[in-house]
Amino acid sequence: MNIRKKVNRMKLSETSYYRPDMAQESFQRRITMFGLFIIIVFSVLFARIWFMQIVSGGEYKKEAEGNRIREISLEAPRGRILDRSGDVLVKNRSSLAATVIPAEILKDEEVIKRLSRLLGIGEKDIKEKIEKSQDPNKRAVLIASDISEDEYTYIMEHQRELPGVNAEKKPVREYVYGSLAAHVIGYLGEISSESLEEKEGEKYQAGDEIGLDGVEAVYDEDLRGEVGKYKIEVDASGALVNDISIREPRSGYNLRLTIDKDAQMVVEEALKREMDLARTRYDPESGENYKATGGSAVVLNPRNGEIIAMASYPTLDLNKFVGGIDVKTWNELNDPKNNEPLSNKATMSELPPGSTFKVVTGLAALEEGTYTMESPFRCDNKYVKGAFEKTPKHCWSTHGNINLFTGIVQSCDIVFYEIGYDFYNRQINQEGRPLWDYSSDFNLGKKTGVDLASEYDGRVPNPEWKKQFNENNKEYQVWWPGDTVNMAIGQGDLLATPLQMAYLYAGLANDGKFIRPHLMKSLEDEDGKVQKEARKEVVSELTYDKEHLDQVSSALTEVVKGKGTAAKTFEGFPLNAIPVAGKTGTSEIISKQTTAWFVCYAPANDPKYVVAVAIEQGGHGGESAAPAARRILEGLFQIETQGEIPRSPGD
Amino acid sequence: MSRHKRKTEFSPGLVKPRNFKELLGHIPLRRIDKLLIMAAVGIALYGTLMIYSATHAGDNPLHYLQKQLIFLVIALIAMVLGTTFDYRKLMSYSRVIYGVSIILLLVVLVFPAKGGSHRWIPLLLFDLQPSELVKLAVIVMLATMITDRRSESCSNLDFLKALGIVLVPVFLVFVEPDLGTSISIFIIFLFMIIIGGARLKQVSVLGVGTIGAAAVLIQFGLLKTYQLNRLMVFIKPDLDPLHAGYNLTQSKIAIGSGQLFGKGLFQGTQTNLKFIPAHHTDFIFSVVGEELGFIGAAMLLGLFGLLIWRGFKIALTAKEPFGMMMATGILIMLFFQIMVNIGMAIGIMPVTGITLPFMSYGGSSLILNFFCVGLLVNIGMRRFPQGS
Repeated sequence: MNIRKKVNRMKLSETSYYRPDMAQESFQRRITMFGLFIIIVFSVLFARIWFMQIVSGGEYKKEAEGNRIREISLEAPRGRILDRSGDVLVKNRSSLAATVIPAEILKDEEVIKRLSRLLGIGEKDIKEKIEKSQDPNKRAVLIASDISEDEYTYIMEHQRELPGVNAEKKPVREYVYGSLAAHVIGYLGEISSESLEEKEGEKYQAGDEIGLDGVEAVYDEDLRGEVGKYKIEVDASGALVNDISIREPRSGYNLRLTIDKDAQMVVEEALKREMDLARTRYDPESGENYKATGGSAVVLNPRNGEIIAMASYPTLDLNKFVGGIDVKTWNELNDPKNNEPLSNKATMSELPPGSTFKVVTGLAALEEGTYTMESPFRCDNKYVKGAFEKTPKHCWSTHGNINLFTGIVQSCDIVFYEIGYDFYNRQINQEGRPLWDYSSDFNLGKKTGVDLASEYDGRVPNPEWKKQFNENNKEYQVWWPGDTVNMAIGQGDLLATPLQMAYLYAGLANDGKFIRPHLMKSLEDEDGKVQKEARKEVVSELTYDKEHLDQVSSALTEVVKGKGTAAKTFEGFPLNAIPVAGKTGTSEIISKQTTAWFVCYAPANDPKYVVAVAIEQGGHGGESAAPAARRILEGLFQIETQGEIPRSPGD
Repeated sequence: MSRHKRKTEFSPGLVKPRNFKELLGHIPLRRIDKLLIMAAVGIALYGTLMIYSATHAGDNPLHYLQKQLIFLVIALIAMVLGTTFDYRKLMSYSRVIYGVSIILLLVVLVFPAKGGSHRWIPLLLFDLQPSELVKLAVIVMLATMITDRRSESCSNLDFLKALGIVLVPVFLVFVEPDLGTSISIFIIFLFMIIIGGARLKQVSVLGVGTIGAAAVLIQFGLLKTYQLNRLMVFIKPDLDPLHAGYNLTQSKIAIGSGQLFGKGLFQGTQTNLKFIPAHHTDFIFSVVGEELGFIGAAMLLGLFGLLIWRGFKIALTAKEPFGMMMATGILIMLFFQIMVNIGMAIGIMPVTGITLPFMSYGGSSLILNFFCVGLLVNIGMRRFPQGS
């Protein structure tokens, strides 16, 4: 080593002046060792700095940018929901809310404790909310909304003692009419992590409110608009230093529904009233009053598929969802004991349609050419033909001599047992089309495709379905004559939702053309300019003989008159001005009370509305459902209601 | 050999200078290590610039710059003073220097705390930090003891005496509290006695004892929570990235993001937006790394390297053991602080609050460090026979 040599040389040259002692030599040795250590340390420092700045400098640079630049979401006001004439059903109001920034609150027990005491929310709940939030760095987590003015001011004034806690003004939903059209509108809730993954793109972020049901869910993207982005440069304390860029938020579109607010009110009132009345009536079969566990009503324009009203009971007050529903209320809404107020019975109750289905059986028979409207039948209450010799089937009444036309009007079961049996035999011999194919012509067994978040398929049974359904029970796989015969009267395994039945009758009313039922009329921007408009969508068209359709229609207009099953109910109704074509139904579900149905359209000669009413465990069609339908029609055609509606004894 | 004997033996027998001119004549100017002085002054100017860059954003942009420049002037005077006397005289004053600095360490405790610790005695131009002075006192004291030792090897008694001398200031600084300086003093002691001839056995026992003492400190909660946290965070920075690990994380981000050329003077976002705390004192290196990049950091390391190398040379070639040990002590002090401070900024050393010599803002350390440079120059130029 150079220095060593120099030192040695020096030592030699300086001996005359100073002779280094032994200690000094050993010092030098150790100092040299120390020098080596210094070199190693400097190399390590140098290498580390090189690694940080040259090798991974890019990553650090990104982090530095992330430090410095903060993106603030500027919330876009959610679009309002209007009825068809522009009356506001759902709007936004400003709510005072308490939020926390998870990274800043840092699970600080003391702050959480204080916040809990201030807002009267459990510490556990607060922690849970913080932990549930996905992005712990940037977004504020909502802890409580609709806090009081005092609480708001307290938080604002005690920022120092409550680090990471913010009080802000947040727009929230306001449901002007509370529970009106609740199932159509749907509710909002915090986006779940699953749906956050599903919906990629920057439109949705953790903590966002999203429509979870009804049109709020279906039209969520249109309603929410576009979030604005405000990029700022901040210092370490989070204080603003510079504006970098801003993208203004775009408000969500207003959603104009096909729903008529006034009609909706009439429908809900009529339905509720009839359900309440049903509960006062005694059911001899079950030995107790009718329970009327659920009911729904749909009003549809058969010409263009617009849903004018849609009601479901029991219902719910949407305002309870504002700012996050509490657990207790949520559990109550989901409890089967309360008959599931959350579910929209109009699209989610799959029920046997009962006699309302007879129009399909009748039309099928006419189309097959096996029967005409005048074909004679004999009803002695009992049906004992062929396979039913030992296990006879019964009609609800004794109609004596009757034909297909009066069979529809008076809803005679024997007539349709006969037709059903004939369909069974023809199907065995592979003659003509089977009855289930006719059912499918009417779009049963599949979703109507209405613009709602939850809708069920219903069911059209056939031998193949039966085999699959009873995969593990061989003895149940056989398609018996009874299967077709039951189906002929809308029983057995046939299931339909009230909306599907309304849709079916709308097809009949519209000369066999099925127009997709829908709730959105248009989407409009802030200035009222239409951005999207519902288009009339023809789903299918019956290729049946026009005459047959007319014959069935005229039979339906007789149902509300004379000997018809709903004649009594429509006593005093101005049928001359507004002829009504309808059909009662009383369908049976094992171990439950009967479901009351009434489906109709009016005016029969130029249909404007289809009305379908179904009351589960509500008695007979003529006594529970038809009166509701009458009240609805009175509302729709602005006919003055006269006192108590007489009840038809049913079918 | 008694000290008296040695003193007369090594006394250059100089004629006492009668006036300033004569005094200058006694200084062997040719022997002055100009590179050493250039390195120190260079680093100090570099530091002043970085301090200005780190603090110019405030209400009074020149505040720190002005103060640091005043400190620098005082420091340069201190450096000159450090060269004007025969350093060997320090041997006879070692007890006085030691005693005075211990008294100051006691005095400082009665002055009000700033930022939670009693470190400063307010003076006219700057706040005196006795813990800086005590470092030099310990170096002088130990160098004297090692030089005076009767036998060539270190006896247990010598060792214990040295330990006792050091533990007093270590303790007093620790209670200020100033863990970093406390450890610094101990490290100076450790390296000096090893180089000064302590036996392996003694050092081993000391090592075991130190670990034991540290364990006791931690066990009985004598370390402040933040001190412990800093150490824990060093081991695992993700433990608490926003509190105790914050400084470390932000400093690393600052340096790393500087990349090759840096973001430019005054352009450091981490610095100017105050993501780095204490950016003009403990974390001045982060500012260099961020604003001047790898080039700037490497240049600074180079300057430090030059300084250490010159100091090293002086230590090796000093004419007699006291100078050798003095130079070594100063070298240890400077090197240790450089290593720990830069190591801390780049995340390979725990955050202990040790400043970067010649760079960090602060009067006491700058003045003391320049005085030490003066002493090094002093030792370096007196290795040659007078008048040669």
